[in-house]
Amino acid sequence: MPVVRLQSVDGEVFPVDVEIARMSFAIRNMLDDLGVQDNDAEEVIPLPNVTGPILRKVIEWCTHHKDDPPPPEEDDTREKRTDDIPAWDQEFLRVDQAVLFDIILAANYLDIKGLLDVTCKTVANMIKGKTPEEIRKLFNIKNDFTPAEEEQIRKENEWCEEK
Amino acid sequence: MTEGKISVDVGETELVEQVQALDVGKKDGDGEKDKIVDINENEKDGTEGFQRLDTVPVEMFLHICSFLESGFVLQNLSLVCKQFYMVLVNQKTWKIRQEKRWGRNGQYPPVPVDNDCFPWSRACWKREEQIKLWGNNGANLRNVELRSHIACVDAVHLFDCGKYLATGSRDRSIIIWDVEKAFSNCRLMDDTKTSVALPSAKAHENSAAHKGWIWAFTSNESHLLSASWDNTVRIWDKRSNFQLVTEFPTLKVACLCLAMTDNLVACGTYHKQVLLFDPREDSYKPLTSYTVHKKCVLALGMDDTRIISCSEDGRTILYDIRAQKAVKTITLSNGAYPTCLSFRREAPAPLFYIGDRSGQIHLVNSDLFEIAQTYDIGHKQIVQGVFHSLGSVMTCSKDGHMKVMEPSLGLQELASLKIDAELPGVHSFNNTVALAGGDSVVRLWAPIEDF
Repeated sequence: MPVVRLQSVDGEVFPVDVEIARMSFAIRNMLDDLGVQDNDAEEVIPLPNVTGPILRKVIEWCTHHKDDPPPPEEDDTREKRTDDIPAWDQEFLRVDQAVLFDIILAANYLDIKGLLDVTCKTVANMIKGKTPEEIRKLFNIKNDFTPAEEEQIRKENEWCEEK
Repeated sequence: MTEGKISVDVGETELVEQVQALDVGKKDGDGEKDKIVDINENEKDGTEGFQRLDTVPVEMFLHICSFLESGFVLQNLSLVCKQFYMVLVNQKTWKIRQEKRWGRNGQYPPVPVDNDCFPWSRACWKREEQIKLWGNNGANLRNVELRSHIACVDAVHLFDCGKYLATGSRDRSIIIWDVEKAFSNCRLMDDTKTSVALPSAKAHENSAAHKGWIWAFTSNESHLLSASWDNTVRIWDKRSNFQLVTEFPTLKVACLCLAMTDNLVACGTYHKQVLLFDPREDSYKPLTSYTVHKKCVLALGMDDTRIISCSEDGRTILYDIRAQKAVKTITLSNGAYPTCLSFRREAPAPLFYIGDRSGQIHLVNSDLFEIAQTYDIGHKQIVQGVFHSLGSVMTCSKDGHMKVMEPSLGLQELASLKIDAELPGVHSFNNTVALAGGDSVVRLWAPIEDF
């Protein structure tokens, strides 16, 4: 199996199977643009936006999911689900918030749709059903509204059907 | 999106400690606006900072939001902090969300609108709700049957934000139902597993409301109006237990349809006229009437400047109230006559739907007063009711089918229900749906309690 070498911003180098690396559309494009051949195993691809620990997580996820079938076409007439995160992913994403957000940014930068979706779903599940105050507490966000402003926003979003 | 962001180089194992340090730092550093660091600058530095929900780029924030319901996002995330609010109050955010989600289904709204005025966030919210309710095999819906009438129910009308339902029947009675009570005060039929509302769910009942079949309702803030084959339109006072305020006799001809604005009532008759009344006057005569049709008037819609009427003569006519003349006419290309329409006077998009004798429905661009699209959605007989909102289009037919469609130009089906009766009418308000039944049963749906 041909290998590429991915280098994180802090200088760590990870040898990765090409097929796994190509799950990232960003890396796929880089490889295609560079015209990297199978025998260019020494080529190092620098990833200036990803740290070693995060890149390790990303590679771990891609390795686990390398044989996944392509996701099914979304049905527009059905509800969007967030309760379909595989058990392995749930366990894999049982990490500190800061790590989770770093994986989201890395998945976005590397353009790995499956990882981006599952991480964003995980954050969505953390938010789901919570009050604004609970959300602030969970993510350590300061309330910068005056009570009057809060009241106004509440009014804006009351449902009132047209006649 | 970077207020309070602290840039630190950190290994995975140190993260927990760093987050705790960040907590402390944040308390101390309140008001230190000079700590704002641009994410992109940070990336150029090659340093790694703490990412948080309020520091990730907007597109990531919105991708997270895309997995949450629009209503929840608007009502809860908007209130977390100003930064979230500014992103979520932007209607473009919601226009993009809809295009991503449903773009393949065709243009929405299905006729052109002024993008800056269209309520994209509400539309998104309503569409998702309708999909959650109807695209889910009814898992999020409660339903109950109202079986108090003893003859075909032709008129159903939800009012006061869907809190009450008026039902009118060929048995000449009008019943006002407390919608919430209908769901709570009911019993389960052993044989069919259907819930049937108990008499205690009635807020009011008038068993001799008219001397003929009751055919149509409309309402405003203070009054409920009923039209009947007894040649009268009766006005009932919502605020004093539905006492009769007055009645308008209609030239000895059956009244088939009603529409009203704050100061004008229009009544379509069996003998091709449209009569106009002032609901604030106790006068017993119509202000005026006009005759633009050659056969009976089957359906009406109106706003402050115009009246739209469908007739058995095959035409749908736009009437200018101030100029007092018909200004435009639609004739259906399939040769069928129009039977019902879904005109809504405060509609955020200039459109309504017409149902016809053949079972087809037609989208009308109400600015141009032209058919924009014709649909064959599978009804085998006359369409008797059509209702549209930002989130769906509902139809019911003599063939016993009620259908709920996704409101894009593509009009994809969300649900199709088969009922063993003809279905004379459907009305909806705030996710509650009432369906009139030829079997004298009214079927009512509403979201489950923790929806």
